[in-house]
Amino acid sequence: MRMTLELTTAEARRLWTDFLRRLDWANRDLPGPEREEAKSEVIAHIAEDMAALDLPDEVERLREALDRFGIPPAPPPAWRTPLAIVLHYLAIMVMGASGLVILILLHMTLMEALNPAAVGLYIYPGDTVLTLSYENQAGAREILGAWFIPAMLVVSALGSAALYGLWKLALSPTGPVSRWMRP
Amino acid sequence: MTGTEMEDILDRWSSQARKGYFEMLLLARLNAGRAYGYQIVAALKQAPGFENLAEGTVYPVLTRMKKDGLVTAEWVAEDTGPPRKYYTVTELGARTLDAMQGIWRRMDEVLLAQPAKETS
Repeated sequence: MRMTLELTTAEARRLWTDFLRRLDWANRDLPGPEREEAKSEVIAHIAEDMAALDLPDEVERLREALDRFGIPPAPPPAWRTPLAIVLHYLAIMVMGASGLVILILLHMTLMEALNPAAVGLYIYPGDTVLTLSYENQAGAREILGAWFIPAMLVVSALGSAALYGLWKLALSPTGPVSRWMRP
Repeated sequence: MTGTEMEDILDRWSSQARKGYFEMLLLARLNAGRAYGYQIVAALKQAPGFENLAEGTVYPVLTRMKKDGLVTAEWVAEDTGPPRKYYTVTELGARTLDAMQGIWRRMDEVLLAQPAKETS
C-alpha cells in the first residue's frame, strides 16, 4: 500500500523529505515490498499523530510527531565509502612497507650486538645523508656508537605503536574506516 | 553506594526489564482486541516505564511478531484519514501470551515472596 503525507508548507515538506531519506536508510536491509509496507505504516502513524496534536502550525505538528516517533540517523555522505576503501588499502600498503622497515631495524639491532664494529649508522664527510649499514663504511663516521641498540629499539617501538594506531584506525573491523566501508 | 549510583543501576535494570516484557505487553494489548499501530502505541504509553517510549520502536517488533506467526495484519481503508494496518493476535499468539503470563506469575511469586530471615 503506497501512501503520502499531504503537507502544505515548504518547511514541512523539507522536514518530511529528510525524515523519509533517513527512514529508507534505516530500513535498507529490508526487501523492497517490506520496506514500502513499513514506510506506509509510518506515514499512517505520523498522519494520525499530527491530526491528534493540538498545535496550530503544520511544521510544529510535524516536528512534534517526528520527535515522538524517533528520528533515525542520517545516511552517510556519498563520498565516504569510496574514501574509506582508498584509505583502507593505503593503510595496508603503509603497514606492509613500514613493518618491513621495523623488522630490518630489529635485525640490525641484533646484528649490532653480534658485530658492533661493522653494523651502524654512518655519515660521510661533507654529506648530510645518513646510511644504515651492516658493513663498516670506509671514510664514513659512525654516529651512534654504543647508542645504536637503544636508539633502534626506541625507533622500532615508536614505529610499532604508530602501526598499531594505524591498524586500529583503518584496518580493525571495529575501526571507523572499516565501518565506513560498509554500504 | 550513593543515591545517584543506585539510580544509574535502576535505570539500567529497568531498561533491560522493559525490553524483556515489551513483546508480552504488545500481545496482551492485542489479545484484548485488534488494534492498529497508533492505538497500540497509545496503549503502551499508559504502562509504567513506557511513558517516553520512542513510538517508532513498536513497528519492528510488530513485524517480527507477524513473521513469528503471533499476530496477523491487514490494511483497512477508513472513511476519513489514511488507511490503518490492523493487527490481530493469532491462536499461537494467544497461547504464547498465556505461557508468558504463567512464567510471569511464577516469577512474581518468587520475587515478591518474603523469606524468613535466618536466626543464629
